[in-house]
Amino acid sequence: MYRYDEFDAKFVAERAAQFRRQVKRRLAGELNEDQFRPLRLMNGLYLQLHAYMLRVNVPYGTMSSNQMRTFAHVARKYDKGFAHFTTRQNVQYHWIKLEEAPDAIKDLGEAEITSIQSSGNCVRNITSDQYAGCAKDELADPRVYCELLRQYSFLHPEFSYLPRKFKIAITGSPHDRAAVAVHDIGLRMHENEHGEMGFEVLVGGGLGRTPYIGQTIRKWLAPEHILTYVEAILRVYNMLGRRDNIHKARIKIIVNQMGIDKYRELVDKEFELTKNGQLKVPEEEVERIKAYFAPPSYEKLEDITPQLDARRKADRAFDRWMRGNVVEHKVPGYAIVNVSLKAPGRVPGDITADNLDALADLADRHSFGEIRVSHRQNLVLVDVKQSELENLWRELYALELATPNLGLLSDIICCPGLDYCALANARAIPIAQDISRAFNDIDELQRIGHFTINISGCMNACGHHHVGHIGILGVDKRGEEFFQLTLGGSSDEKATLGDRLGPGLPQAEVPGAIRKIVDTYLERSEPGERFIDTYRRVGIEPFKASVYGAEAAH
Amino acid sequence: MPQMIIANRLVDGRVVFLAPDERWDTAIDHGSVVDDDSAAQRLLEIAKQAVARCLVIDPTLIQVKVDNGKVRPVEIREVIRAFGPTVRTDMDDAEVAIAGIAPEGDRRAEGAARVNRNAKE
Repeated sequence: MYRYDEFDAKFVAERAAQFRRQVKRRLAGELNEDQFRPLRLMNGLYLQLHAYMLRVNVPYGTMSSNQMRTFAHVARKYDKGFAHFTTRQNVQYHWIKLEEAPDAIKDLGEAEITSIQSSGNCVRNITSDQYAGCAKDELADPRVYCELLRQYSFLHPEFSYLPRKFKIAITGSPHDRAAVAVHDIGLRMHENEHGEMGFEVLVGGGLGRTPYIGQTIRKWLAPEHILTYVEAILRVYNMLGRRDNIHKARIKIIVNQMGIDKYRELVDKEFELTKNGQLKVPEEEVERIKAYFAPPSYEKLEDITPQLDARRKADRAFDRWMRGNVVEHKVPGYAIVNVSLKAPGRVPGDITADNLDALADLADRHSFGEIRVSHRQNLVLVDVKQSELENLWRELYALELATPNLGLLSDIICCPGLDYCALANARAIPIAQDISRAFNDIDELQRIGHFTINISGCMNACGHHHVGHIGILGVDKRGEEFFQLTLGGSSDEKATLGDRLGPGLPQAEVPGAIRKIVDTYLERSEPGERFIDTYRRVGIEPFKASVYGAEAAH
Repeated sequence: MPQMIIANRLVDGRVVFLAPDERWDTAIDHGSVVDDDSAAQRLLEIAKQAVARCLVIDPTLIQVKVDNGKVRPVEIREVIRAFGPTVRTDMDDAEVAIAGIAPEGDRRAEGAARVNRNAKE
């Protein structure tokens, strides 16, 4: 993991002290809210419905057990004993008091965690594959370039007041677990025809009220140019992006208005001027950062899958968990263990302080003291010995963190919605709870297979509803909550936006509609065919007919 | 329609209601409810002074219903703001919030409250 140097540590401590003085001046009446709001937002402190909310970065979803314990400490001391993991691989605390926020920020800073740039029109937390460094299909470790971009974009004076926020994601694997196509910039690592590693660069993806899948602006970019090229994209955006209308201010709007070819032309022009300048990344710098992400001291182990298979035959619950949540590791004898935060009826992404502490201990004992968070709001222990899987499973089970539903229908992405968020039009969490209770039979879920449900409480789409196999958008219709369904969205390497199924449904009808969609899929699917593939083959009509009746489909 | 002032307390963000004697109270039932627009505007003036004195932020007039001395906001958002969140029965008045959102006599509200009670256990 990246560790702060003395400059980082000093800066973060000074920034916390500065914020303490700003809060003091606000409480003393020396600053009014209009003056103070931008200052608190620069430190990730929002005001929501019931309290202040502090958003804290987990850079590319990687944290140490010590940082996890600090998250637990902050949850216990300054919040109501829990934390919430978001779709941006961040942590949110929903019950922060303004007068205590400086203490919380100071405590986090001492563990090398900051809330800087978790809000505002700047480059936000750079997100990545939660299996980075460990995935069997990985071509190169994206964390090195995430960290390089983080350092480059942190408090960058030119890009601290962009037209709007800016999100970058990187995947080092061909199977995209980081949803890079729905980011302002998406970077896919791959080899060119000469066998050299580089990046395919996508630009202008995003969700919100005007969703777009990112378009390829460059098929292959040499890693030494990552900063110069990203800078060229940012600079063109900073000059041309609209500042007169918040709804048209994201880069996706100008890319799609002027067309990708024109945008590419402008970026290339800028890139030609700067590409061999001081931001060209020297090999030594890449190596220096790479050293922070050196593989842990793996033991030389035999693959023991056959022995595990025997154990799985003996214990069905263990078998379900192995099938659901355990993924192959690139190193023989190790496995990647997903920790579901989606038990039936629970709030997706929420975790108690006690469980944060317990997971930190498990990470120390079983996974080199490191934990990941995925954009799907689950946690991951990435380096677990196969021989320890059964013991780990028992411990996770005791903590109610072993629901074996990864990638299944009840593994729902869900924004906080109107239960917390001042922007929301409708609640999202109760819908997720209703669905996960209605589909709580793991054997049935495993039979249904891979399915993503993404729920947002407003069109800002923090719950990524456009790219869920089933997307659910909460809307306010004359003072009542209704939920619009979309089908066929996907955020992986074949990213697509979902199609609207029909008129919004009241909350009580949502689980039943999901059931009808699932039944239609099971009737129509060919053996081994995933829902998304069936949907792409048969189209929306059969699903529309099942939910709204045969006549509605025509 | 009856109205009252809802705001967030500056120091901790807690939801508060403007009460008699220019006090701010966390209990909605203690808040001042007025029936006509001129009285509502007077409440808003008091609230603006409280903003200037750094007591509260974002004061808003909201419509409420009063039933047997119990005050309930009309809009879902304000019900949740007053009593919610609806999803954490270990805190605040989630069940009041759920009941406040659903139309009267709606079985969904009872169902939701029951389900949430189960979740708590």
